[in-house]
Amino acid sequence: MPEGILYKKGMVIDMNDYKSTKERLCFSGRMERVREDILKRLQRYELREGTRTCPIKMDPMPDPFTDTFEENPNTPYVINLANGIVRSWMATPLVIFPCEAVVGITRPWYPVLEHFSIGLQGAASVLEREDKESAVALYKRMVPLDRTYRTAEYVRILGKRGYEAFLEDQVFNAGGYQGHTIPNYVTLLENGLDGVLGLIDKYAAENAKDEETKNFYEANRIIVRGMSEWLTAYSIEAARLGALEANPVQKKFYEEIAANCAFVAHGRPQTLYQAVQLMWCLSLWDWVDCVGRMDQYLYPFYERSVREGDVISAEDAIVSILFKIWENGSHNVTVSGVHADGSDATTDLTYLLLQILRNIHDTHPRMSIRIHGDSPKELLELAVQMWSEGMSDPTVVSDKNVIAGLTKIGVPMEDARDYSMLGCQEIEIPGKSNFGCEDGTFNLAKIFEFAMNGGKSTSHPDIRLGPETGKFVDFETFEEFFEAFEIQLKYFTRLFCHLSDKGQEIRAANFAKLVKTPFTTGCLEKGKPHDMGGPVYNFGVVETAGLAAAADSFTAVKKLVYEEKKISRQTLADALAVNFQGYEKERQMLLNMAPKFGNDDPEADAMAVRVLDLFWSECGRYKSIRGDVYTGACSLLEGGIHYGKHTGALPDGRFAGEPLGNSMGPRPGADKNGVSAMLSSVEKLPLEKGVGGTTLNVVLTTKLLSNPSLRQSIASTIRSYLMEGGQMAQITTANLEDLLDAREHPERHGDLIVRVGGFSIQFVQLGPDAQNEIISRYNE
Amino acid sequence: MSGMVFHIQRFSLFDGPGVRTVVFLKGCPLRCAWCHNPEGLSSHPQILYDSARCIGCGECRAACSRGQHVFRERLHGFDQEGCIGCGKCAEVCCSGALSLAGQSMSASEVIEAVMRDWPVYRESGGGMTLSGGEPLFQADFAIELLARAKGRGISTCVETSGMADSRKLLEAAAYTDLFYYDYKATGDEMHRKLCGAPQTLILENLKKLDSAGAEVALRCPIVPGANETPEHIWGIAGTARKHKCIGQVQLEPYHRLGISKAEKLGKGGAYDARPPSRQALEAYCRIVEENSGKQCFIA
Repeated sequence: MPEGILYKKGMVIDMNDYKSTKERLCFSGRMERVREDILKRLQRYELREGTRTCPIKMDPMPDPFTDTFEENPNTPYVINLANGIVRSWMATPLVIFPCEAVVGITRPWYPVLEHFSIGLQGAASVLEREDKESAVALYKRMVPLDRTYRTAEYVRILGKRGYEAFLEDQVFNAGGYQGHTIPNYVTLLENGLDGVLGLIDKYAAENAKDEETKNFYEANRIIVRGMSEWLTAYSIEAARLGALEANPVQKKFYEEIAANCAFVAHGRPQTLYQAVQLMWCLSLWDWVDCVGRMDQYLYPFYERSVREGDVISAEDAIVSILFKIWENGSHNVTVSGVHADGSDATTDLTYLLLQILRNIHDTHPRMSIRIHGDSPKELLELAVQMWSEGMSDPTVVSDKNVIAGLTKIGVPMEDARDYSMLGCQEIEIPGKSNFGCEDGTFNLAKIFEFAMNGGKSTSHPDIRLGPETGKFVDFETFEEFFEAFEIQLKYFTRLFCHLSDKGQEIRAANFAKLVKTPFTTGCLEKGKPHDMGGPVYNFGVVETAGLAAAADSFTAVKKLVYEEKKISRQTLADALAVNFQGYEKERQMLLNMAPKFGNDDPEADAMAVRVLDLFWSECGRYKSIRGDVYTGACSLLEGGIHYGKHTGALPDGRFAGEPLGNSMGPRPGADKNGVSAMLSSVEKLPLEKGVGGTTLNVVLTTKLLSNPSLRQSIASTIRSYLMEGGQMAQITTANLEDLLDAREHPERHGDLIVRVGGFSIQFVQLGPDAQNEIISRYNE
Repeated sequence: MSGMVFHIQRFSLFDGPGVRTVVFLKGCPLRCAWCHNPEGLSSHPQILYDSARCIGCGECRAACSRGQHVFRERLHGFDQEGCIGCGKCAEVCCSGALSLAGQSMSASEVIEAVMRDWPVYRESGGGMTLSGGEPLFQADFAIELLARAKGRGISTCVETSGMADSRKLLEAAAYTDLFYYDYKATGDEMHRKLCGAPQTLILENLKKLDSAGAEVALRCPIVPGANETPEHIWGIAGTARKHKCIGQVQLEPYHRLGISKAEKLGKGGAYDARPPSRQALEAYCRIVEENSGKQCFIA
């Protein structure tokens, strides 16, 4: 029993054994009712990701956001932005569902500037107005900089035709993504909203010398006051409903909600119930972005609530907040790991959160477990049990390797130990960071193409995008060829980082993440917005696609062209140019006569290490304009499919357009030596440089998890991977027959959940390419 | 010392405790009708030919000094008869249609390959399992592998038909944590008919393992049309009851994976039957458990 606070004191508490893999949690009658209602609502929602989980329809949809800018043409941008956000929340209907304890619903879809800084569709709608001139003027007030700013830079560098070719080739996407971050829930819970206002005043008094900085602090105040106002409005609404309610039980619920919301509208939370309500307010206003290490910052409240009692039980409070996250599709909850002093941080609350997740059994909430050398055995066992029941959560992450990577780039040990997962399995220091996750995605396989063709792609042989490095047929040695790759890679990495910065400038000018700003350590202290280097840590994150394809291509070229000379340079160049048409023998040789990454083969793995190390080291030479260096990441499965469609035939035997391989893993079907060999290959990669987050998708048959001793073996395998050099693993379990059947008969398999990059998703919702990729990743 | 190995399979979860690497050794004294690893029968290297993968490039014809590969209108024929298993054709085969089953490896090479998964053994309590063929057909090599594995501190299992030199078997037992011991037929006549040899030695060896205090799991292939008879099921139960070394019984339902392998060896007429029904297997399991007092599983 870690920490065993509950039991040490000899209290008799009627509770479940949360660690049990055999027994399941029983929701209270109240929470069971809430669960049933959520299930019904979920069936009606259009889309859980994003913002389509609003349970109400509004017609016509009010747009107080645009109104704010229209009505106040002379007010500074950031003040209008803050007021627009607050007015939008206040215009959202106050809805309290029966039996609910924690309240607050999301808004209907509309301009979402505060989070999705480059997703400006909402604001762009004003451009369709009749009076063009005033429409453009209004748009410019709402969006100081938009994506045309970045496009102009692309065109300036590449030329118009070059830019078009670049888009079709999908070499990379830079600076176009919104970026998840985790606000500091500790700051929120330790201070309460009035306390945070006090912090704003304190730092404003120290720093606000000019008009601009004064406006920045004022905008922060507007947001925090707005949250107070919104909680007060819920309190009043609950009191009103309570007065009307005939049923004494529900009446009591309303009264409790009214008191709870009224308290946290200003006060510093004392009880768990108060803490989770306040937490939900910020999470909701933060566009249900990631919530970080819930079992850590809620634990003092949880422990106290169990010890001293609360308006509602500790368990119901935790179930309530997790249900909210579930319904609204928040991105990531992280549990366990270590304390700042390195000791195990697993608590009862860790297991309780996992057990609730187990009962929900859905694609949300996503949960990650941090595993380290002293993690209790039960923790991983519970995870494996959940996988065996068909869930793809939780993901498991290695403390050892992540913390080592973070300290290497300069994060102090204490903060590194506090890291959290977010988004699609990225990493950051919660409440203190803007890792720009992700600043963009970069296709290594495409760079290979450029190296083959002297800075041109196979699909656009007449347009040079990269430097002239000579033709493949002229390279006498493998190292000459690799040098060409290195030159191309360096050129495009520099370009990538430059264009990422352009995207960053757009976000900064638009004051993206304003809601998070007062709750992110560093922003108030420095008087700097979230996207201008306000947070303590401001690393850049580069998503990597095509690693296995590029590495295997190099291995094949080295072995078959340069060492064994079985294929001439000219033949290979010709074969690739025509997508192997008429060159099946050469393709078979490339496929079968050279080793592939993912089989624990020293040669193939060393090549993957070389390519990845080169790329991520190169990224590390540049600093994002937020202030810190770019780091590597690799967590997208869909990335390998998307970029594969735009990549020509490669010397690993892959036809043009085929997937490049998912995340850190081998090319589909290339790993033939079993799971442990595949894991060994991945362990060798310089994952400590992939501080942005590197996932590995492992697909296991249900047979491998069908009895306790097999589950033990799987747990051991995963533990060994995490302790040796692996960073992250996410598991999909299914029968091959089920997957094949689901592909043919989607109507029969709505419940089949698989893991795709950082997402859990119903298998039947995937496109055919992604479905096939999962099937090919199948390990018996 | 070196031996003839035809496969090393990592991440096996069904051949002993924890995560294991199975080393398949070539050569077998028995000729069971339903053999699912026919490439393990001969103790010499052999070429496996998978016609479905052949693209008809003809490289193998040029590589073969004995003319075993014939092409007629890009259709590739391979004559197993007369092939010396030199492996030159497999070396030049680009599509992987030709592969060599059987490679001479030194004991230290094998152990090095096995130890690649050491961290996983440490976490799971797994280790090395010897299989075949009949691993004790190359008894000295098998014993050396087992001794070395023990020396490296990992768990060891042997999957044996029991058709082995008794002295060698006992020597191996000193380094073996668990034997998977085959029981394929009941009575000499049935055994001779199905497996090509009498059962006497196998049963004697089992007794010797019993006296030596080895740990044994009895593995029983259930093959419809061959040994799926009431007498045999009773025979399994009786054998399990008689030997205190037997901790559990595993019923292994016949499967058809051996057929395609036999085809790749150019052998027609492989045993083909419908796998036994789940229901029947469960009934056998109950009979065995009730009459032997030992646990019985369906593998």
